[in-house]
Amino acid sequence: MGWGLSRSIDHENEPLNKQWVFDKFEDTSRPVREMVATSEEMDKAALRREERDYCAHMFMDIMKCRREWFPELYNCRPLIEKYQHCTVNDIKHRMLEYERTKRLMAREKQRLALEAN
Amino acid sequence: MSILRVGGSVFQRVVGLSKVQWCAPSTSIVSKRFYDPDPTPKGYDKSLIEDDDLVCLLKSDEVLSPERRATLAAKYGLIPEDYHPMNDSLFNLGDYPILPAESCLERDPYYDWDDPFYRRNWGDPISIDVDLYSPLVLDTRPLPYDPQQQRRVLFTFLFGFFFLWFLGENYKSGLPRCPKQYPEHHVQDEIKTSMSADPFIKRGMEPVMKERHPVTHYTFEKFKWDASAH
Repeated sequence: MGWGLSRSIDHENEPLNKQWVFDKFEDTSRPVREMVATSEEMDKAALRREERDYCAHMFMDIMKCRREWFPELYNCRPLIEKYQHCTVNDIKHRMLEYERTKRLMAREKQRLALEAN
Repeated sequence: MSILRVGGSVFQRVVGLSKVQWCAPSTSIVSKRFYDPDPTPKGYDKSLIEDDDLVCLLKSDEVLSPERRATLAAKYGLIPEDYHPMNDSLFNLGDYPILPAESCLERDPYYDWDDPFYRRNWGDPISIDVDLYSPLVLDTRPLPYDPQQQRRVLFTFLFGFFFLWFLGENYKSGLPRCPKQYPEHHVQDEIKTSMSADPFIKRGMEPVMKERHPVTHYTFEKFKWDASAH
């Protein structure tokens, strides 16, 4: 209890927003994350910078549905829920990535300390 | 019955039996109560003001004798105790009197003023800032609450919420996340500027800024996630 209320941060032991730390501990043996929509499709759909993520194909589906069904937008509700599933899954993936990188950092620190002694 | 009552009141109004007249009569009767073509009372109907009734010059260091003070106060419709000439105020404005800075809204709205809009009577002295204290411009009525207390409450809430923001920035809730992953690398994101919108960088105009390179990311899932199953 209380893990969601507050959290103390040690800046040295945390990969906060440091992209180079995530790049350092990247594991290329894992399965590749699939991107469904291509860049050309996203260009044609005129997506904004922040929408060109791994859920872009679902976002494009929603936009098509809105254009087709306006103003009866309740017809797009299932697509919106799928898109929300995708975004929440993306957040979970980011949490896992953060925890993995943090543990690898701690392990490397331990290893370096042992090598120094 | 109601028709009879209404008919009676109409009859009373036409004949003029009732003492109080409710509204302006509509047909061919013009009452003086509602339309007075020349409402100026006697004594105030002069359109030309002569030398002594105009605002006269006074020296800044002039000391008024009681007689002169009484005459000048009477000229502006004041008693000598209330008369303070403006010859020594910010600019030398002659013998025009200093009057209290109260707006028209501060005066009694239920009194039968000669001019109900500006709430003043014939012969009342007019402040030099009459346009400032008109009901359309400035309201000098006292505030319903103490302004110092209002300020205290305002700043307490303001800095209280700033303090809560500070706390929330330092003590984050929830699990931390890595930066968001995108399938393509945008070259324009490599530009580091102090401002979010830098006018000296031609964003989107140069072809380098439009470049995107594909990026591979890796997932923890052994099997592909199926959205239709949920």
